Amino acid sequence: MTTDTSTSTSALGVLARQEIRHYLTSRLFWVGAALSVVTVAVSVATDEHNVGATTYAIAPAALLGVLGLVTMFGLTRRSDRAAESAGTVTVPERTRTLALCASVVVPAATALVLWAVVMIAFLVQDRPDWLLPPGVSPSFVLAQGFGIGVIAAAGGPLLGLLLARYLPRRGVAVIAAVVLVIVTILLQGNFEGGQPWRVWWVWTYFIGQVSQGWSVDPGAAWHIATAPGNPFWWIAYLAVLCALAVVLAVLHDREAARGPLVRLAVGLAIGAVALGVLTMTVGYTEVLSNPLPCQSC
Amino acid sequence: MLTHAARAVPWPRVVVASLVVVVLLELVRWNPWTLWPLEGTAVGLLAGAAAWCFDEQAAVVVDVTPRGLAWRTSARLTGVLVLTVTWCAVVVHARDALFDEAPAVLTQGLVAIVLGTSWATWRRSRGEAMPGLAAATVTVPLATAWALARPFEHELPVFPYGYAGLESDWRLSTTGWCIAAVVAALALAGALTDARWWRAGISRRPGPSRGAPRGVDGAQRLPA
Repeated sequence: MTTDTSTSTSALGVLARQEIRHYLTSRLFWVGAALSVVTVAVSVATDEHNVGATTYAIAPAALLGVLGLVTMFGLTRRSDRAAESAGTVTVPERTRTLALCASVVVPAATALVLWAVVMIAFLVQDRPDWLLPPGVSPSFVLAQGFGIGVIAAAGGPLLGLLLARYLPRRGVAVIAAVVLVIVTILLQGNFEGGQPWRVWWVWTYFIGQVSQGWSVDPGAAWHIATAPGNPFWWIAYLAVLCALAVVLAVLHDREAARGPLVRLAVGLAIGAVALGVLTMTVGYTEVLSNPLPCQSC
Repeated sequence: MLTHAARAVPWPRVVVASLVVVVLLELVRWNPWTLWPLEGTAVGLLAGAAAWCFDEQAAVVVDVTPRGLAWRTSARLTGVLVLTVTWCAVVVHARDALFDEAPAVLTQGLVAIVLGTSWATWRRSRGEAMPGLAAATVTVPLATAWALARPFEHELPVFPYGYAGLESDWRLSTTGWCIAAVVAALALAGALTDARWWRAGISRRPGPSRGAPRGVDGAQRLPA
């Protein structure tokens, strides 16, 4: 038993390093990372009013998260093909899944660096009065940026891993990316007074440039406003969802013991529901709008 | 040629892609200010679906038949034609919601189709059996992500957005798409020309096509 465990741990380390190398050699990752870095660099260098700090996360979320979904789907299929080609199963699927999960460190670390750069620039520069609505602290912007920017960059690949495990069919990653974006756009708080329930979705905004309430009227003056929802609890909610995704992906291996993992998955699901409720109900439950019009929107 | 097209083109995929394009543009028509990134998704899907039309599952058999790549490409253009007609119709239907830039949007989609066709044909001329699937896997999410994030939106406006003060962005974007179309058309012509030489090479020295189905052990399956 001890030998089996040490062998599995050793294999996991080797495989994890291998999958990290595979992620690092993915062209799609480098395209997304390069575009994210340049976009953020230009934003930081040219945005004297810090407005970009409230919206920058769309770059890493789209270019590392959405593209990460496709990248990870491909890596998982590649891992499965390699295992099939090997014939006899030398490494269990569970170990390969955990190794793939480890490779998420690549987009997550990239997004973390980008988030740190944008937020340091945001904190050290003077902020104009029209930027943050009354009652909203700079940490609110930091929390939103971490949730959309960093966790989305890890969550996208984890979603790709889940899809590859349970729906390993051609074109699934592409369809999932399109559906993800459609739902995300529809759940940005632009309808029904800010859509408080939208916080259950994994990619939404808590602060943005709007005209009145949380709607967009191109002919009216623009203001910075928050949408209903607490981004601090939302980070915890997203982190639990990511953990749940890892557990569900590992659970796909039907040859390994599943009882403890099933109980863990149920516990995480209950925790996610509780955190989602807290996100909706604690603190920021109304739209908060800065009465001063935005000078740089 | 029509018989070949009826059997070779992946019609279910083409029909599904066309329907998705219609849905995406209708969503844009419903609320262009909010849902505009879906226009980029539709353009990416057109490129990917066009490339899909040229995937050849039986490449190891078909590539050594007397019918050349140019003939087979011409036959498969019927699938591309469906995508083209769909895009034209849906853009005309949604023209009032396209920020007065329906011709530019139309151009984006048509050029995307040319790009997908050119890429897939070039890869086919190099012996790759299924280039379309790989292309779609990249173009759709990449176009979607680009349309969402809009990096360098004024310097490199791939999918411009809105009215005010952006006429130059739309003009620059259309110019870029037209240049891409010319390059793609030249590449397509070059690939089809090259195909004759490549086919002659194959007839002298038969070999497997890249991307053709493989056995469980990873070995290439060769025609008997």
